[in-house]
Amino acid sequence: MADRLLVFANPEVQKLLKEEFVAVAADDWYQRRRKDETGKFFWKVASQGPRNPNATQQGHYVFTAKGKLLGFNNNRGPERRLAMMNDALKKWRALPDSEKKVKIPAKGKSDGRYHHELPGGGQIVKVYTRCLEEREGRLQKLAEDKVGNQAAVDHLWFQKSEVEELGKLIADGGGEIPEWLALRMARFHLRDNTRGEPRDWKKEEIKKWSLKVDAKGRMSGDFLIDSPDGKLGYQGKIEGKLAVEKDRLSKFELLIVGKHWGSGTYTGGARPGRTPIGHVFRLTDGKKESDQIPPQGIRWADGYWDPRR
Amino acid sequence: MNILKKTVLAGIGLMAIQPLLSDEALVKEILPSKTESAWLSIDWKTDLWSAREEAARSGKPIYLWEMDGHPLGCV
Repeated sequence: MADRLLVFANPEVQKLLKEEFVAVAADDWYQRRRKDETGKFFWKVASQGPRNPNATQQGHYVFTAKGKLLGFNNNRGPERRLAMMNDALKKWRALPDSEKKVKIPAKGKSDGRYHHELPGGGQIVKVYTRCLEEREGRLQKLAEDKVGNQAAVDHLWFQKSEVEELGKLIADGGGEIPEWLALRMARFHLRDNTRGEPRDWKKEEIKKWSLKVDAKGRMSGDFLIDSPDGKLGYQGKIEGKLAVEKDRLSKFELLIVGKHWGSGTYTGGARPGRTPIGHVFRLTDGKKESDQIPPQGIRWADGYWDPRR
Repeated sequence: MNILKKTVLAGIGLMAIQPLLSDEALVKEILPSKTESAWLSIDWKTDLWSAREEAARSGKPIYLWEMDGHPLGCV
């Protein structure tokens, strides 16, 4: 996440990327596993780099449409990244035109195990997460110099039939939200992802959950999630508003505030004790590519779509 | 979003009283700031094959940002 502020907010990096490159971002967990034409092309590029082929391939690559690697690094900081980009551009400019404008074959069928798209008619809710602290008598984002002070983002996906079910629930006067949504939110979205990839919550770790919607679409509830050893958990309150018009979500806004405790394998550096954290859920039209990123939790697709498993 | 009353915060032991904080202020604290969102002014593609096709069309090299956990999502 540090790259976002340190490197990609840098005006010189931005100018270079916008003018000289086609920029693409990908989840290595999927990319290095997929067995399709995209996966083959990725490995053609990555195998020219320095990474151990049996481990993560994460980093920053510059290459041609034919797959010739021109630059790689995994350093933070704009200076070294700019040096790599400029060096790669020099190599690019030295290439013959036949290497630059090439005919690309058909993509072929994507490997569905490692490629997810929003189902037809589905909708997307952005999920923002921020560690908070109490200062000057109110909850604020962490001070600039503290680890994990940036907002993290994920996406909550709905299928068309699920939205219709929510609409019917409100039309019928409201009640407890369906178990599939409760567990999807709890297991895959109420997590501290501000310092890396958190693990999914197990179903049995959801110790308490209540989220009701009334006939006007107002939502309120609370929850307690706790690991068996009590070292990782989250307790909080939920308030928000849900509206469905013509079987489409027209509003899905939640504010969740609670206290989180503990670190996961890839989320080290948590503050000691139980510390404040907040989430904001906001419906998006999903038109921007960055809004179409699959939910982190959909790596286990069967579980994401049916979290009662 | 007119939500999260002070009693809610008090209920989970976060704060005793929060009389001056509007709900919108807390939402603003949580949402990414303009500075934090600056990196999204880059037209990031999310599909490597589409990026490859565009690179071939436009005669530009590809810059790939590859992370465990999608760089534009998750974390």
